[in-house]
Amino acid sequence: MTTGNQSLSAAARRQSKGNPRVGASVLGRLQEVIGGKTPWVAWGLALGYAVALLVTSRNIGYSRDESFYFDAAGRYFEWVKLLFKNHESALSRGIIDSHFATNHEHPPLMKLLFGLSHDMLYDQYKWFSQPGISYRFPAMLMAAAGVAVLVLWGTRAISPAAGIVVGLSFALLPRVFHHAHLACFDVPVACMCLSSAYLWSRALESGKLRWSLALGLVYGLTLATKHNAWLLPPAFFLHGVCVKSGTFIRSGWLKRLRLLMPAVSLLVLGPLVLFALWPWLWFETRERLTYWVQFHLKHEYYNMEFLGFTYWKPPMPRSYALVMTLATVPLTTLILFLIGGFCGTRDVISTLIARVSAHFKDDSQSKNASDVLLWAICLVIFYSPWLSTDTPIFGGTKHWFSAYPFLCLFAARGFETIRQSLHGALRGRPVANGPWATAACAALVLLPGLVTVKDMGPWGLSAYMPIVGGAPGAATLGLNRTFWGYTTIALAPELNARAPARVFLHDMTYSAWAMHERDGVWNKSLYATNSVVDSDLALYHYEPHMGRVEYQTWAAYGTSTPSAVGTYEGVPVIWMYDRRGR
Amino acid sequence: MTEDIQQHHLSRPLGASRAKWLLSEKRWLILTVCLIALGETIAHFVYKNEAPSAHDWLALKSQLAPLYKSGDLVAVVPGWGEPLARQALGDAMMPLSMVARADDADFPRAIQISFIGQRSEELSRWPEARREKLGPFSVSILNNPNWQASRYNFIDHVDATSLSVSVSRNGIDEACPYSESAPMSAGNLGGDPTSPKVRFSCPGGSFRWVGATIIDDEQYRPRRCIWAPPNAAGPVNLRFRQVPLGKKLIGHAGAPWLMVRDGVGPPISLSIANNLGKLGSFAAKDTGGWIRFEWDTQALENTTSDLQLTIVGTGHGEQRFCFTLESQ
Repeated sequence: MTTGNQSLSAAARRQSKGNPRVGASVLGRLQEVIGGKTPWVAWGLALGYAVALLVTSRNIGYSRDESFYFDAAGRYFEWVKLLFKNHESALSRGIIDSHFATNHEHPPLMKLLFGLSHDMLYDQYKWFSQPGISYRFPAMLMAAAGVAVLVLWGTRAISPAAGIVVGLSFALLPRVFHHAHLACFDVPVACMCLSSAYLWSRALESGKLRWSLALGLVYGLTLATKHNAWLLPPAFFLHGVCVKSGTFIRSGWLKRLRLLMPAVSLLVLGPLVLFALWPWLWFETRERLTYWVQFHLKHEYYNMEFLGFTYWKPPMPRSYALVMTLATVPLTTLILFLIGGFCGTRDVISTLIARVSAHFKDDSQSKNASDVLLWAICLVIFYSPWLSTDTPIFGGTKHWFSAYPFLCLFAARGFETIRQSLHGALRGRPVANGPWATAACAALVLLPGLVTVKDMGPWGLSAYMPIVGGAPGAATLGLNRTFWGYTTIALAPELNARAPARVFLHDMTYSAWAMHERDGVWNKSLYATNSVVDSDLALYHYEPHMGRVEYQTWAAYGTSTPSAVGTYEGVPVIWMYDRRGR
Repeated sequence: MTEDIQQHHLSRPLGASRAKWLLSEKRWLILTVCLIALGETIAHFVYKNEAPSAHDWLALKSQLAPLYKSGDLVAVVPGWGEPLARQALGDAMMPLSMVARADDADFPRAIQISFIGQRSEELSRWPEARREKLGPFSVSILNNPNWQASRYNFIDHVDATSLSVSVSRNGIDEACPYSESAPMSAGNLGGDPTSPKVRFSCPGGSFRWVGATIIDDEQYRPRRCIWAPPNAAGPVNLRFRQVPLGKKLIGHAGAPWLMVRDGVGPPISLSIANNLGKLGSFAAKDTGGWIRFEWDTQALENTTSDLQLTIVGTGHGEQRFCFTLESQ
């Protein structure tokens, strides 16, 4: 089998055209249409994903981090409005610092977009009835755009069917689906990193200036999204050296400059875009950049339960990323990833052998393996921080989300192997033809993710795959059940039924509570408090190290009997005490 | 596939035969992937419905009532089901003192509620007297083979009638006033445990009080105990009046794990004496977790005595300490 940027796709089309039965069937025509109109398919799926996220967003409670970003988004966008009203004042250091000091450990792009969306789509045009959803909307669009890019790349590098499978595989990763709803940066940065990688591939392959400029611009936006972007330049350079070193050595200066264009754009345009978008860096640039880097390189450690032990300081377990990936990504996707990884590695090695045989004079073969190599490097680089026992693990799976699009691309490569085998196996059989078999096969491999996503509702961080026994198995194994205090919304009916009351907000911020209040979720006679002894109702989000807060409630209320328990798959995630015994 | 492989190895078919063999191998690959996808989907629905439902838990209360005796230890296995058991069974069957117990060994009998095939390792040595299947639950009655009746549990006597508390400042006892309506406080995630209304308030204020509360142990489990942190002003003295003594005094000691797990100070000493002299002592390290200790009182068996417990820390006054003690 060949692997190539367009070879598999073309092969699929040829195969489709070569079979009269396929050509005659509706699905056959559909496949041709898909092959020919990939952008429409990609953006159609993206639109569908954005709608699915919007429809399900109401049920998902606001997390701690979202609440910080709501506040920051408001401040940042106030500054943007001021910039248009009175730009002289807006550009003064005092005004910029007062607006951008909040949450300055993270760059501003998403917060600016959250603020813009809230201002335009909630305050001005009333497209959204809930302010919290309006803040979340840009992150959903980013996730949808990520799906589109995956479809485009998968189609281009593998086949139209694989393009659809890679887009949906990523969209239906349960943890990704949950985080894609949130006004946070993890899914957006994963999608931006993917887009940067796609543009790097295009820029390197085409040698055209427009792709290089697009790369620089998008990489700048990636930098302005989250610090995961720091990992991309070494990945890209390694990839560039691997696939273009022969050409570079043999070429003249003009060709060499053209080969260096993507890297120059990445390193020059990217940081300029970041600087332009982040007014916080306009003063004391070096100090503030240093703080940004140091903050993340020396991040404090939070508690995280893993296999029954709560880690709060190094050494962190090296197996964490591996086990959590296994526990939260559908096994079917991982099996396809292994098949795709095997085939991809085989192709890269055979290309390498061919190049060695040709004494590195022929780079044409490397084009075929270039994307596979880029995916592999990006996958490894985004997992690599967790090879160190000093890397915090408090973020659960979200911190290596940037690796997932590449994992899914390999899975799509694996799917293509299955699909082609299926075509081979069914050749000459009267019972079924290629497109139907492809569609059935795609549906089947996407089914585990789909059913999990459908069932998990507001409990996204409690969802585990069957390989660990679902949520009950994960709870028995001692895998983290929840964090970020976002599941309070699951007890909204119980809370409202007990109003009026003062509610002790364990692990939930006032700001998150207030956003739900603005959304109209709580009865107006429920009041948030941070003091358990002054409360009537006390919430408790389960995490082992936070048990002590529950015990404080027991001692204050004189009971250990919860009045309501929120469960996912029968596993308690959040529960509530009522001092008044109701 | 085995035949195909054998054929491949034996006759090494070439050309069309080889292609056919490869095709057969790929058929297995297709089948495997499809079966995994299908199996994973089915398993999702199996696990989704595996744990007992809310209805099952509610039904358990009436089913368990004929088996339950006051003073039983009710254990839930796996432990993550315990909040649901507490909600269903209530304070009557799962009182706070049992839920936040110092030790399983303090109970003569246990009712073990297990589901999804799990069993308790901690109670595995207790002989099973009876087992019943109640819906999705397997309920076992287990007898404690080493149970010793308690003559006096110190935590039940943290009141002005049975206890007086003082701090020895330069050799002079300074009483810690007793109140039954002191203002409560709780330190939230990183702070001190709840200070109860009923307590002795000692010099230095803040967390320097003596009373019953609940702390987290090294496995973040609840432990109900007598809060008596060392005091910078001097040794803290707890004088219990008329304590009936048996063969031994069994105790547990520790500090709120989240606050002390990084190691904040040298050991805290707890010693006990009666009017005749010292009976025993124990040193608790903050990183030691919830530790059991035992003092021999066989020589004083069946007597009643006033006992003074003295708690001494390092003097910087930031250490926390909580203990239980029982005369058996």
